[in-house]
Amino acid sequence: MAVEVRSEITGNVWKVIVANGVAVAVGDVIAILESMKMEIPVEATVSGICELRVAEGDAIQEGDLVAVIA
Amino acid sequence: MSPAVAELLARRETARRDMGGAAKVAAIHKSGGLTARDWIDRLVDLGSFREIGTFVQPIRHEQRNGAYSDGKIGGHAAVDGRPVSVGADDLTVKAGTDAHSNKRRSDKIFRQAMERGNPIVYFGQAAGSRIPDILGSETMSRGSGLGAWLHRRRQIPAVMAIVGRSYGESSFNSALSDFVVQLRGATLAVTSTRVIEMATAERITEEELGGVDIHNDRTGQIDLAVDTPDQMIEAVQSFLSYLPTNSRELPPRREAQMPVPVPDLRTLVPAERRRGYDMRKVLRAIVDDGDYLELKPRFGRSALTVLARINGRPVGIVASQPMFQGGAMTPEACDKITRFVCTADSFNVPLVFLADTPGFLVGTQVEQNKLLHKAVLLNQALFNVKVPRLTFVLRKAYGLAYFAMSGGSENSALLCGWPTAEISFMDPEVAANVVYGPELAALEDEARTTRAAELAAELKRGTSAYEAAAVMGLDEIIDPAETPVVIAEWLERLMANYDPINRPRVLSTWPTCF
Repeated sequence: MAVEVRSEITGNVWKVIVANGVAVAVGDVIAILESMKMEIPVEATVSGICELRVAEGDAIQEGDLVAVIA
Repeated sequence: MSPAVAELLARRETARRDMGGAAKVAAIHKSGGLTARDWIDRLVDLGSFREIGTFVQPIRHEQRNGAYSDGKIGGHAAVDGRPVSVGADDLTVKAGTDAHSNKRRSDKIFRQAMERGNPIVYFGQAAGSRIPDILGSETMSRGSGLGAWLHRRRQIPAVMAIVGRSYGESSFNSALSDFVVQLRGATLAVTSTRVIEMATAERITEEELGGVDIHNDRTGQIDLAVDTPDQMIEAVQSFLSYLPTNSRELPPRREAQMPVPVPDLRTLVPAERRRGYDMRKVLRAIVDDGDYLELKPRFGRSALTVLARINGRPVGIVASQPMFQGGAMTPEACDKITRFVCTADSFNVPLVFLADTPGFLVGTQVEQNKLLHKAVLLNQALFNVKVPRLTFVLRKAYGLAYFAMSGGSENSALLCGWPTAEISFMDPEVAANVVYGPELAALEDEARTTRAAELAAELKRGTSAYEAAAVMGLDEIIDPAETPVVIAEWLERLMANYDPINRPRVLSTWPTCF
């Protein structure tokens, strides 16, 4: 079952770490967000194939989808 | 059986079964709701409820209609084998409105809880004062004010569960409670939308006025929001499980499980100082079974306040949350910590602080939100904490926020730094610009950036844990992996001679809301 990974903060997508469609393990950093001069990693909550829903530079709101892991 | 006893039993059965009318009870059940009695039954140990005031009726005879209850139910019971007093607003009679006789009933139950010295839990959905009963100077003069809860000084834990539309005494008592939980769909406010519209022509929904999201995210007037009745009961039982029965007892300890070092703690906090992380991971690595109850999770989010156990012993943990605003302290975070510290200190729950804060958030918004007063209030509270307190500086600890997170050598029984700790008045990057402003201003863009970084690095060297430890500003620098072990050993040591009866109790008399 696909698991949605959502942002817990409002900020910008600073770096996307994994390539679209690659396998990730629990705890792998998918992307790093930037908010208030701090870098906040978004991590995989399950293992699986990661489908990105953001690109570097995107503005992101709390609750927005960062990736779907299936 | 004598006719008198038979009548009593029949009346009692009817009162408890039909409440304000069998049809009204059926209607609540049909809509998927819970009656006042259902809420109490769900909370307490099976068969433990002993009712007080079963035969209370509305004071106006024409409103009695043969039904018992006056809009509020209550008595004494047990939760998890421990004594707890309970009450609930009963919507089957006059919308659970506050009135003469039900107020006497509720106040009496509260006083009995105080005399016994056990927690009180109330399921609130009072629609306000009963009108027209309350109208007129004579009636208004008969009451003594807000009610018995106003007199509490945190001698017993008080919990308010807001389960419906609350505009009356249940709202006021929530502000006098230690733990307030609101059910999604319920409203917590002073004045109803209808009265507001009549008075000011403002049109607003109940959800906008006092729904869970408003209080959970913005006002901080609740400690937790829940989506279902089961979650509500679980939250109340969980909160009670961390606290003693009253302020003269120690919190109940579960089976001791001495922690072992947790190597993961060496890597959970990133060395890169701009990197945020979720402090809840650190908490899970430190506390028993990774299990804790977080209060006000969406308010003042740059700090966390949680109840947990370490080595079986309840502890209150205050931690920076670098995931939000970099862990910078805000007026909201101060209020949240102040309230938490007052509860913990009143009920003999030792405190642990985990600091990683770049300072206070600066700007007009926080200043206008009373940063000055909120920060000083928190420092006043910390000065008056008398339960054992341990403080750990994980990474950043800057300025006033260092003291607000219990830093400073006078505050804690034990003050430790992790090797990554950096302590100073001001972040080095900011300080470089303040101290060397004119020098930097004279440089071209690129040269200025390079020079600023050099100067910041220079200032950063003076912030290390070893510099603080050299002047005994830290009691010890510890391996992060040892943190849970240090906490458990020190709580063992400090609680051994802790006397919950004969000790100063400044914070138990502090306001419950501010």
